[in-house]
Amino acid sequence: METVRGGIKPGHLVVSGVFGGICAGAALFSIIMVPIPGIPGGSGFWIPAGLYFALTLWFGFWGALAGHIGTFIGMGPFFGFTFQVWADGALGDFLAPLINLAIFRATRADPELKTGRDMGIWLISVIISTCLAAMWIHFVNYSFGTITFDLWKWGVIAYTIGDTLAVWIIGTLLLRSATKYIKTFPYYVKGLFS
Amino acid sequence: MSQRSMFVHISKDSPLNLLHPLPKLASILMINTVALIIEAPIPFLILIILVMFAFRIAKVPLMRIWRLIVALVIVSQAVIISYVFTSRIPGKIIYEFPWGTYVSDMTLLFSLSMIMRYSTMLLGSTLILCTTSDRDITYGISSLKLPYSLAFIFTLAFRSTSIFIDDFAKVRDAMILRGTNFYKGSIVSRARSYAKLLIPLIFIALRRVVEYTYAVEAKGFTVTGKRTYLHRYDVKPRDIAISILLASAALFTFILKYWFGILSFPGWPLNMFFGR
Repeated sequence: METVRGGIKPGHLVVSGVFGGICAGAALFSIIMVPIPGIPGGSGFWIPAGLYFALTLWFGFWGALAGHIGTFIGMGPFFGFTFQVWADGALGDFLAPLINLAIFRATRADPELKTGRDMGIWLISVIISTCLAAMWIHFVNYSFGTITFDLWKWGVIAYTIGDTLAVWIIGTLLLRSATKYIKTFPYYVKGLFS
Repeated sequence: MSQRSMFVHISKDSPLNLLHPLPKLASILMINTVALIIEAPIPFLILIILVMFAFRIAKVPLMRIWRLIVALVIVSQAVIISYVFTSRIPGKIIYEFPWGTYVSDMTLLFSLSMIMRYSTMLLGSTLILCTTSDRDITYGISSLKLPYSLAFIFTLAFRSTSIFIDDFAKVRDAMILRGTNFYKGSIVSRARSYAKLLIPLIFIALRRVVEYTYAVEAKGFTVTGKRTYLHRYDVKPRDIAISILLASAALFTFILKYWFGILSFPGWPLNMFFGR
């Protein structure tokens, strides 16, 4: 395998591309299954969230990028490939797993979630990162005039609850069952990029 | 003759097909920026009519627009509910809610403006993407001097989506044959069943990642190195002129709003009637 500056390999790009496609498919599925009337491309149970939180803990930046691209591609056919859709959903879905990763790296938690400490960090970090992303997403919706400022806090609460549940249910299952194997994968990321 | 774009087949002699990807990307940026700057309903209406007219000129099938109606209806009802129940837009108050917000004569007009903002962005972006192929996006990203890797990831993600949907159907059918019931139980248990479906999909995807990586490395693909292109897209003076014109349009809109106030709510010509 070719190794270039910073240890980034073509495989890392392929990880983003392939899993970006999977996140896009999962996003389409979520929007069709559990739509939220009024939120552009929104879903009450955002399946890709569980996926890209786990992917980011496995593949670092490349996992978050997969979530970002996947969300944009998934939301686009329903609500247009507009700035708003990019800035709220896609950028929010890029920031949230990266915040979660930062908390994991800072606390040296293990994504295998074998100990109670790791599990506790996972559960809390998901709430923090989802809440921060929710603030950003609804700030964008407010800036574009889709919602009013009074509705902002309700949007943040609803989004945080919905996304946290999705990440807890799907992400926990994925991390506990697959991390052990993915750690042996050549493109497993220990830092941010490699 | 027609040619496949990202969404539809369009006539090969569409004027937008003749453009370099750079002005196409500039158009998407411009239409979204302009829509974000404008607040006034009448200028929005004019802009929407111009975009619809551009659909005709670009020979994009109007069927594409009808598909967007559902998105517009969903967004419109949300915007109206949001503004009617939770806004305080100054004007002649029609109804005041117990929680302190009110509906004024300006509330519906402002929410209409916001709906038109979304419609403009939706129609404008759709028009451009209807005349853009995934190859255009790759070359457009390269033209903007952004890393080629980004274009590669984006194109691969687009192509992987349909592959994932096929895999998803196969794995789900296999699980149903082994006795999994995705329609039984509480919402949480159904969600867990779907989550379990993702595990085999992730391992299929990991195998694909390895295969694709070998394939691209065998073709000499590198993360940073220089690369050659099969197709040549030369930037013509016409493309540069259009890009400059589009950037000027965004700047002009900014000046009209913040200097002259023409595009601020309620804007021209309604400000004459509402005395603002």
